[in-house]
Amino acid sequence: MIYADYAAATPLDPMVSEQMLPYLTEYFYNPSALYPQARQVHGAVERARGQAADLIGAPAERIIFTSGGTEGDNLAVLGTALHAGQHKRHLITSSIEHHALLETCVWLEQRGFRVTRLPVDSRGIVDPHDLQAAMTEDTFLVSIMWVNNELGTIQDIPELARIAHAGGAWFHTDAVQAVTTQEIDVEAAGIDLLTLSSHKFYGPKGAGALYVREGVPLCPMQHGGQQEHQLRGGTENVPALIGMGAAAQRLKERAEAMRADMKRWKTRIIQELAVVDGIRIDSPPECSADSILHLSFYGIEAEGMLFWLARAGIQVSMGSACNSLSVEPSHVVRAIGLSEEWARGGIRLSLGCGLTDEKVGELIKGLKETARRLRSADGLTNE
Amino acid sequence: MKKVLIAGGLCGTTMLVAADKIEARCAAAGVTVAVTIQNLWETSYVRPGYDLIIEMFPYFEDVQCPVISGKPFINHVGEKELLGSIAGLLCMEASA
Repeated sequence: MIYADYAAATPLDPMVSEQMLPYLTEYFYNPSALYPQARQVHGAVERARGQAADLIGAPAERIIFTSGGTEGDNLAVLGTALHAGQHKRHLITSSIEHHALLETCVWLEQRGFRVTRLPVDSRGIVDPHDLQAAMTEDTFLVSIMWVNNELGTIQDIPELARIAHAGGAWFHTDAVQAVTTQEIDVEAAGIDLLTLSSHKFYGPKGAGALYVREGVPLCPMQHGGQQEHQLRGGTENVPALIGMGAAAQRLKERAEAMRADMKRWKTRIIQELAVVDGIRIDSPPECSADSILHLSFYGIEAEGMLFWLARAGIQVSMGSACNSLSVEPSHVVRAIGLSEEWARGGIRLSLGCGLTDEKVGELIKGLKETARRLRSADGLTNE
Repeated sequence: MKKVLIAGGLCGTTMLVAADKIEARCAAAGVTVAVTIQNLWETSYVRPGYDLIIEMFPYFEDVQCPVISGKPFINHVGEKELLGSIAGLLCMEASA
């Protein structure tokens, strides 16, 4: 099996599951209880908080634990929008954000907020001038994802944050796909809110974090408990949070080697596929993360590619995993202006720790053979 | 009655709509059809006995009946011509 869908989910690092196990069995206590055993669990949760914070250069006390990226995005946008002391009504985002962000913005629009969705160029990059032009006195938040989950496009986060601040707005970034390939320092980049999700960096599903800079007003979306300084009530998912902390620590330890591998593999895939007629590279290496590569196959339905690749033991996705129940080209692919014949044939490869040089070779071979098979079945000639 | 299979994957709604269009077009040509829809991700076994198979992505290789691409139902390019071809094929089958 060749798994190339790491942007959807990453396998649990064995060291991480080892750290989680005691909290699934022996140390089952509620961290809010007062007896020593529970306090021990509470201490472990706080250590995990520190580990997650360390990954992004943040103070531990500025981390709110969540259930993942979707909750983090929701909390960042709704928590700032609906804070009692916040009276502005305009926010800015990009047209290629994850649905967690876009749907939250739609929800706010239905309640009287205004949302500007910035266009992107053919590489998926937001022009800072467009952001500058969109800022108004009524703008309270700019939210632009650091690395796009379908294309891998990297945005100029420090510059976009600077423009947001100059215009009197907070800056949020969904860094869910950024953390494995980008050096993240929330202070240096000027970020006010940042979303993380554990299962994208070899931690368990069901755990995430939202960084909130001191001074950013945020109201809770989930009420009912004292946890997370009353910003996210509810008994913590202790094993998952322990796992996330351990995964964050592991990522810091091995990031350099991992990034070198991904860069080498992506370079090789691009070199070997870019010369094949009818294949388009939508993630140029100079502006996209080494973990994600979006390819378009002219005149071929992406689902056909996925089906036959899966039969060959190769696992990739079309669009994003969260959106894979539709055969229509995604909003991201539409936003970069691909024609219909290219857009319908878009698939996403995402790279990670379980790959090897040999598996990448098999992946490339599988992609070429599947495309050739589908073209000859369709009677297609290459463009 | 002619038996038609539409085989595809995630495009369930598209296949349902295609089934309706095929039934209507064939009825207009005097041919009664029973259309079955199958998601190949769930099961790739296909019962024998179909008069025509419409595949939403290339899948079938060694089958006894005609197989045609249902891509026009997805991208709506040449859909009318495809419906005509389907009715024509089944009419030929019916009168053979």
